[in-house]
Amino acid sequence: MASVSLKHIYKVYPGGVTAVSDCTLDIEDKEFIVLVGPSGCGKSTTLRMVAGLEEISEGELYIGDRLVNDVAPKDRDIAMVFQNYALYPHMTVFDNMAFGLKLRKTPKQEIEKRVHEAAKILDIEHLLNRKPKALSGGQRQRVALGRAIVREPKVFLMDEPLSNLDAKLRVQMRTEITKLHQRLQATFIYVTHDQTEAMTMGSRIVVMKDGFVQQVDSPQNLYDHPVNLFVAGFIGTPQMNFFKVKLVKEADGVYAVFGDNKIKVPQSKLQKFVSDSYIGKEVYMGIRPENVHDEPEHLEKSPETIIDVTVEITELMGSETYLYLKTSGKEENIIARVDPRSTAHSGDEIRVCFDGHRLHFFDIDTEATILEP
Amino acid sequence: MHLDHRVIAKISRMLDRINTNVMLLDNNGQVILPEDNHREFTLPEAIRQNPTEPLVFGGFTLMGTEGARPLFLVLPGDSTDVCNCAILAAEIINMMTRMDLTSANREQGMRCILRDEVEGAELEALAMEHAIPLDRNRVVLMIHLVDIDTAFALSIMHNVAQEESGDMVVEMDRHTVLLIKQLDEEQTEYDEMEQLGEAIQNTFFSETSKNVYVGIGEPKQDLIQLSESYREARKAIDVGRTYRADENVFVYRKLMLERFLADVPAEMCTKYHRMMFNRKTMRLFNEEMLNTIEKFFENSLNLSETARQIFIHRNTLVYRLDKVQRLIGLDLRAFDDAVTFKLMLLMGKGAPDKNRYY
Repeated sequence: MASVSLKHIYKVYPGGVTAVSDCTLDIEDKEFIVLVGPSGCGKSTTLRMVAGLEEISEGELYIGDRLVNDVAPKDRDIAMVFQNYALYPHMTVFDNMAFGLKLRKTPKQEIEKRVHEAAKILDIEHLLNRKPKALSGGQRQRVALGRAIVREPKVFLMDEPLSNLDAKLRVQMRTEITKLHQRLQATFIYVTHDQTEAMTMGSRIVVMKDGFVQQVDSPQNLYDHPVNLFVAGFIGTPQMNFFKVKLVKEADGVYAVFGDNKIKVPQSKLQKFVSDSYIGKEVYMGIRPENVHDEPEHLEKSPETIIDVTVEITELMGSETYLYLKTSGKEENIIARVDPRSTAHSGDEIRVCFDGHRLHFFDIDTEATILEP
Repeated sequence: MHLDHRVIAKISRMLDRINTNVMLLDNNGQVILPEDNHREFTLPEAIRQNPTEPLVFGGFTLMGTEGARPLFLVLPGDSTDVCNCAILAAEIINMMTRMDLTSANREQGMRCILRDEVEGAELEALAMEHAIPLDRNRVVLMIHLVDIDTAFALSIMHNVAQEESGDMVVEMDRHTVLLIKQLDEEQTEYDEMEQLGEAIQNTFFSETSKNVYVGIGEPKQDLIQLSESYREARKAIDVGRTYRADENVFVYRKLMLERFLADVPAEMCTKYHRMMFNRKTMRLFNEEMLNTIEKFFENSLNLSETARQIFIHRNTLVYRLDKVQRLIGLDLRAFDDAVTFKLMLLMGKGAPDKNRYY
């Protein structure tokens, strides 16, 4: 198995369109790293450059210690699983899995051994004699994974492999792929636009936007310490609530003021500001939906972060309820994720409080966080 | 003897197994293998006179193959083992070239049939000679190669083909390889054919990072009709590349509209295309808007599914379609209007580049 290093990689298409800019990334051996971002952010292009399916315009790519910029895809010791897992319809599952090995003139016995081993890992041994049309979507996806496994590559590359599956199967296969990574102990690079997939599968996540890497971190750190407004908004469902606030210093502390609302910024948070110069200025403030509370005990404990809101819509999700709230100084709804026993109804005027320790602040111009990690 | 590069590659692999510094020379003494050796030797007259008898000469064993212009093996050493090794290697090369000749003749025969160079009794005789059955359900899959070595493409296609079940791989030219797929009697699974095309495309892409175009003709029951399937496969690629530029696998049967439009004169295409796509509308029909509309059509005018696939809110999609309706008067959610728009859009793809407005 091997590490993968991208050093200042650029991808510029003829005509000058830059798909990836200055991408530097060190992926450790046996790591499961997920590239995530909205459509057109450069994540698939990055993966395809690692695979050798796109030429690298500038920069260096290493697999292990070997510089592979000019190495053909078939010689990079990688295996790729695509979104479109095209299987040969006239071949059995066994032959589909063995196909790549046959092309490489692998001895027959070795092919048999590898296919059976991979089938065992994927629990598809009983399907080896079937043709693809006799398989379900999930089973076909497993065969596509099997085709990659038999090659015993140093690195597995997966480009949205689950997006052709229905929602239920996607969740199931998500777990299967995570287990597969644990069993194979190989380096996995996985591309998805789905942040839930990224959060649940990756040991580290690379968030990309407009061809630039925004943040590389563990799922928990990305969630708790986003480096900028984009990452904060992209990671988490429902997404973080943002407010344009003015930080006002008063006798008893600093307040974030928006519309008629005033939220006291806890001292512990203020100590994390990278500079005091933000006091008195406008910044973006963010709070995740689960840190907006309507329960009386929270309201009692946090009297300095209470705001008045009107409930516009309530969505009962079973284990939780989403409240869509309207307040002064913010055009869009604030979303609160509260206890399902909440008594709030559409049209109610209620009070909610923010967990001050969970507030995020971002520079209004650069949109970068102004909090130290 | 003229040898195809595929046969030379096979001989090279065989000689590698001998595990000695063996060389293969042509009739003029020029080294063919190893490929990086460009020397030329003067062959002793004795071996020229009697090439199929091993000759020990200056510490080397020389041995020729059969034929009017034999090849010569040169092995270091003069022991009996080396001599036997030379005889064996020469015999294997003879077998390889004989097999290649038979298969090349069969391939050549099929090429003639597909190009309509033979017909009637001549075709039947040719088929009989090369053991090509006349009445089988077959379809032509054409693989158009761009920047891919034909020998490599053929090696992939021979692995894809089920030659024991009647499939045939034919090299038509430097850029075209055919898979003539024999199908179950009167049972044509069109979706499976397309999946096969996708799988072939996928294999080439992952092995070479280069795309191929796959055209799939209509299945034919008789060998005499197979040339039609070949022409259909070619037409599918030509039309598909014009009207479905982002796809790589084209099924002739599924390109009815595109085939019709390909027959419409270019001036007429331009004329109708410009009625909808002109200076007035060019800001509206930017890349994003056209992608949205094409996706909407792909999803059979299903708003929710389209919105999900292009990661936008359903209301955003409705807003975009309303904008189109306000400017050009066509409600793309209505089937008739959608058809009109689609035709006008496709007309542009058939028009010369300078007449396009997107």
